Amino acid sequence: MSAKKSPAEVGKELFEKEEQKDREVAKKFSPQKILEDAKAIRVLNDPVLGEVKYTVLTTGDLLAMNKITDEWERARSTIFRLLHKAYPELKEEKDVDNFPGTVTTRLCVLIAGPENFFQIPQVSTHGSKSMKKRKSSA
Amino acid sequence: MPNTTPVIGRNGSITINGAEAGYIKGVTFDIDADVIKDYKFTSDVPAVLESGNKSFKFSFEKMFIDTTYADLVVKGTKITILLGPANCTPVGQPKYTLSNAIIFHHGWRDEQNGIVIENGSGEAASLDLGTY
Repeated sequence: MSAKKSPAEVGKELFEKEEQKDREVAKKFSPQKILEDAKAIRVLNDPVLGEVKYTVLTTGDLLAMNKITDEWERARSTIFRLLHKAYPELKEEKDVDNFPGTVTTRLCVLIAGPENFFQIPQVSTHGSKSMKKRKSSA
Repeated sequence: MPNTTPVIGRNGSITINGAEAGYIKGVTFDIDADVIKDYKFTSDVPAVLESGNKSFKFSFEKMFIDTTYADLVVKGTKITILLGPANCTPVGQPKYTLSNAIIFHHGWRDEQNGIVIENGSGEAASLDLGTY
C-alpha cells in the first residue's frame, strides 16, 4: 500500500492533470484537417426550405466569385458553389436558373445572414483569447 | 530558446498552524509601501525619504486546500505560503514566505480531496526572502 500523499502533493498532481487535459483538448492548426473539413457536407435547417445540405466556400470559390461583377450572377454562383458538392445533380451554375424564384430568394436571404452558411467558429476557451471585437455601427 | 529553471518558483505549499494544508500555483506579488517624504525650507530635495507602511498583496492562478482545512480558509483563517523553485526544498535554495495571509477575493470549486480556489488574491502580513 502506498503512503498517503501530502496535501501539497495532491494539489500539485491535480493541477498537473488539469494542465495535461487542457493541452490535449487545445486546438492545433492542421492543414490536413482543414482540407478535410472543407469537403464535409453540412446541414442547415431552414423553416422555409427544410434541410439544406451544403459545403463551405473555399478560397478558390471566393476568388472565382470575386471576378463576377453582376450582383445576381454572383448570388447564383454562390448558391451553386455552396450546394453542388452536396447535390451532385447540380452540375453547373445554370442549373440554379431553374430554381423557382422564391427558393433562390430564400437562399439569398440565408446567404446574407452570417449565422447561416458562413458561421465563423467560436474561439475555444482553451485557445487564445485575442479576438478582435466587431466595431459598433453607432 | 534556452530552457532554464527559474531561481524562484511561482508555485508552493500552504501551511496552517505549521501543518501542510495545500498547494498554490502561479503566485505573483504586488507590494505597496507608503512614501514618507518631507522637505525643509531653502531646499528642494527631501530631508526625509523613507518607506512607510507596507502591504503585501498577492494573486494566484490556483490554490488547492485539503478538505480538512477548506472550511477554515474559506472563512478567513490565516495561512502561510511557502514558495520555492518548483516547490522543492533543496538546502540553500531561495524560499519566499508569505506569513499570516488571508484570501479575500476568490471563487472556488469542489474536488475529491479538497477545494480549488481559482484566480484568487490575498494579502499577507509579511514577506520574507530566505533560503531553505
